Amino acid sequence: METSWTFGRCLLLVEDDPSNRMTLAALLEDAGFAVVTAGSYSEAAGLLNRPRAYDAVLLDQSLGDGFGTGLIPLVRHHMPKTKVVFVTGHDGKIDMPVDAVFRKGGHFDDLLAFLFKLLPQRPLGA
Amino acid sequence: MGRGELQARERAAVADVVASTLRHDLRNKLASIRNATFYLMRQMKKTEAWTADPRVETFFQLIEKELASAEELLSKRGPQAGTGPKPRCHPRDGVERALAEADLPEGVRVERELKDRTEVGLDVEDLAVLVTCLVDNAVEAMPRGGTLTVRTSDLEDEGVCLRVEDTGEGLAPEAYSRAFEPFFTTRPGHAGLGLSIVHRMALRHGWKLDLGAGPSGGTFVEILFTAVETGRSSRPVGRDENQGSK
Repeated sequence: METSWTFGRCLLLVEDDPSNRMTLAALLEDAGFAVVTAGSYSEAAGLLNRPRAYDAVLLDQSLGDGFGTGLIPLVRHHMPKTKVVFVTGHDGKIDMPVDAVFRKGGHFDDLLAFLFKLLPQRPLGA
Repeated sequence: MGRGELQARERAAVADVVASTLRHDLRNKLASIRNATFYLMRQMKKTEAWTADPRVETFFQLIEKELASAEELLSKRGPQAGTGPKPRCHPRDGVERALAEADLPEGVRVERELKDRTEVGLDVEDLAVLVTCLVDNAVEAMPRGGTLTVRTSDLEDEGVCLRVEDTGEGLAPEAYSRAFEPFFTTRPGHAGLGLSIVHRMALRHGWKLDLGAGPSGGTFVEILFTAVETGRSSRPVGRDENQGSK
């Protein structure tokens, strides 16, 4: 399933629900992304404080030990070029500036198309 | 507004939190099922079974159809509020209303300092429900009695600050980050919904919510209401706003 546009791209998936984390990571990896996962706010904060070149961070809002919105300043501070995408099942609005909000439970193909539009395209062969 | 009306509002607020929590949890489960199904379907398409047995594809379609139906049910909402004049009130009126109806034990002394003069965008009954949640939480934190302090004051930018503080024992540090979660409680027999209701209201209206240890070692909850005229605030509500006890 790997495509030229996903090759070499790395995502950080922050999701406290183990089943969701496992299935979404499997699909993203199957699509060609390198995926790093975090299962809690504190685990994600630890990863974000050791910056690497994530193309996007996919955040859930309720993380058990904190809220996804609380991680945004860390992303912006350490990785200003990284896109912030919420994949959330929450009813409420995300009350902070983010690059995109994707409703949890949507089709994976929709999420993939969404990421394709969101991530800057690279020249052929890059 | 009678006592029955306030209790009805409290029940509605509790139902709102419970329903929202259930919706969120069910969406999580449906999302896992959908993603797992999608993955399996793609793998199955690579096998002979996909073409040899047409029911395989039919059953994947059935799962997809039922998932879509379940998600549609979850997305349905009751009638929304009308578009009449925006409600507004003086927070001090909501505080007085909540304290008048509060079931305060003998050992709890109340100190009130209500100095606000600015209106906020909430009707007085809903504000009384919010204060009732905070007062109940503070009283439960003082099983051997203590002082409940309720203060309101105007902010420089035309909002109002409401602070409710107890002189209980406070909370363990690990409980602070979870204090606003629905059903999280440190006290047996308590539902753990009061602070969730407050948190939901704050998110909905864009108020800043802070919660932490007071100077006496007890707990305080502070809400910064934006004034009616300034509309919805863009203040972030992240982990920093969720430090506190319950």
